[in-house]
Amino acid sequence: MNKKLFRTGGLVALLLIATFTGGCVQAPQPLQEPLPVYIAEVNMAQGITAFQYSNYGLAQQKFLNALAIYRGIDDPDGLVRACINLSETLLSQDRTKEAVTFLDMARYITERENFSQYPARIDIVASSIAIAENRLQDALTILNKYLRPVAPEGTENEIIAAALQNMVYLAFLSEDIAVEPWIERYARSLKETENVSPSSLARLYRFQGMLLQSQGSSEKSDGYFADALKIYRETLSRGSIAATHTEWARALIEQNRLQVAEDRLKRALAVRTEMRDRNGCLEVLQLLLEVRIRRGDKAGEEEVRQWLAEVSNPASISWPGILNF
Amino acid sequence: MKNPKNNPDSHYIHRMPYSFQERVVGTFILLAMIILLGLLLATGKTKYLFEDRITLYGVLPSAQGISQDNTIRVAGIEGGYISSIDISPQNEVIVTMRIFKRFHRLLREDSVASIRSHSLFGGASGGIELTAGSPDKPLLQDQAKIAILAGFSMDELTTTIERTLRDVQQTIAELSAIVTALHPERFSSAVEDMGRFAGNLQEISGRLAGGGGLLGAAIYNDALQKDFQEGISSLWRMTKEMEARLRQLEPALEGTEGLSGSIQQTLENFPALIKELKQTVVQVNSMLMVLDSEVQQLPDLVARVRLLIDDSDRTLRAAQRIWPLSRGISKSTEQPYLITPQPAHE
Repeated sequence: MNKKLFRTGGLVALLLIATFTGGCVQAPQPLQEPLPVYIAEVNMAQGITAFQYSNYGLAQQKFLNALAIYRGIDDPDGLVRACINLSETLLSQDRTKEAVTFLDMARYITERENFSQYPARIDIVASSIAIAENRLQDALTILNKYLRPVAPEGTENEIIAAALQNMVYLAFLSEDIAVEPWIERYARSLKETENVSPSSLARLYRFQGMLLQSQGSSEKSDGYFADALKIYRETLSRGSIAATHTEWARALIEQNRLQVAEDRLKRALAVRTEMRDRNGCLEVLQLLLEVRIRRGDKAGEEEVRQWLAEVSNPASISWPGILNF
Repeated sequence: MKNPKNNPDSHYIHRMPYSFQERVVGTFILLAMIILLGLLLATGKTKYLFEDRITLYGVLPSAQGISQDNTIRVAGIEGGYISSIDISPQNEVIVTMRIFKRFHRLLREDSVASIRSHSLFGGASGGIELTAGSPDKPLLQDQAKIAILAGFSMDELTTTIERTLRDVQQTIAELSAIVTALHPERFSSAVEDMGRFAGNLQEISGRLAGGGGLLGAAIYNDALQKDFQEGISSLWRMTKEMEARLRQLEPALEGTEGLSGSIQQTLENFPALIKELKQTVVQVNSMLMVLDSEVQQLPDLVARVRLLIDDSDRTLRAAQRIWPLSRGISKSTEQPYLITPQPAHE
């Protein structure tokens, strides 16, 4: 009987506490997204994942799906984000003209809707496109806005880091800009950043490797390239792996270490072929041709020329056979 | 409007720092969550908190299909639960069953305990089923032992299907043997020979009908002897021809003998085969009906899961905004679903 009483009392006490404390947790619940927005966001998320794994074809398809949905519900914010993502994806495939089309669309909607969070982001893509099209002065004009001693108010660290990366690369391409101060500034900005992304750090190593190479310190530069490669392999950034191999090969060609350079180029070519990146393959093949000419390898030179002709032809479907090199 | 922080008449809580207020709210919420969790955990046990119970011990060779979470149904009504499963020194499985006292009067000495089978998609849970006994039999006493019959398990179902399929396979193989025994070339040769034989007979009957035979000649022809000789020689030739034809027919007849033997043997097995096939079809049919009813539940199940996930999502998002979780989880500063800025030449 006592046991029963105890049980009843305990249960009543629990219920009373739950009732009184329950009043404290009554807060408005976050609203669920409407279904079309949810589907569009799923497409965007899938596209970003595909982009991160360098699957640009799939990423493009997903962003186009999202764009169509955002258009259908007249969602300007979603439209801008989809356009920026598409522009980045197309730029990664060296399809700069199409990238510009989507970026212009993003810019137009941003200005029309007076969005404050997107202009800087659009500018960074615009600077990357300008560099890809070798319009260095245009790129410099855009980047200067974010690299003044005091950046525009509200500029995120991410934007400044991207602007610095583009600036350093621009400095390497331009003969009039000193590279070293920009690399130092980039390194400083990374030190000041709380959570440095692996890709930002790897990018710094690549810049340092390229700088040391240009200064003749080939051994040290090899170390930096190797560190960058290690990070990219861990994060499975295929485009960056290929780019690092190519940059490293350029450095090795300058040192006249042709055999090692050829090995790096073949590895870069394998990655670019796997990515079905025709322009990337052409860039690597050009370097490989240079290596074989310098090595006096006539048969090898002819072989590379054949592959260059094959890959240059947009209708060719046999070029993935390049992997049998 | 006056700021409540600076107003001495306002409630003291408004003069507390925001973080303190946040903690007070968080403490209450945590407390509520702990209590709710406790209640949730206790629900199963407290459902029949005030029920008086008796204990029965079930004995069975294997505990497959039951667990401590399972309920016990008495005459189809939830009437108890399994409190423990133990192994006896004789390596038998002993299931301790707590039966609510109000069902006790249903449990008689002829009551049967069996394991309820699991459905394919978990539509019905496993457990033990106790049948109501005859009212004229004595009651099962508290602490009594009862044998539990093993239920129809998925393994058995699979075995039955396998056996059924084997039967179907065997039937098909035997039918195939019958068809194989019917050699089409032999059959066609026999038919051809029979055709020739029939032709010859027709020729003879024709001659007789036309008065060209022995009987006709005996009546109408004067040169009977000559005709008779010719007739004899014709008969001789015909006999020879028939002999040759019969020799040709011999292998065909032998083949027919074997064929008829095989057909006879197969026909003897046929009723049994048909019976097995019929049983198989009935089994497969009932199995498909079970499957069909289970599959019909799937869309509903998916819809319910979706609702559950949505609810969980809402709960988790709300929980993230409450102290202390709001402190631990940093607010995302990233633009939603936007690629991080990519540097040139990647």
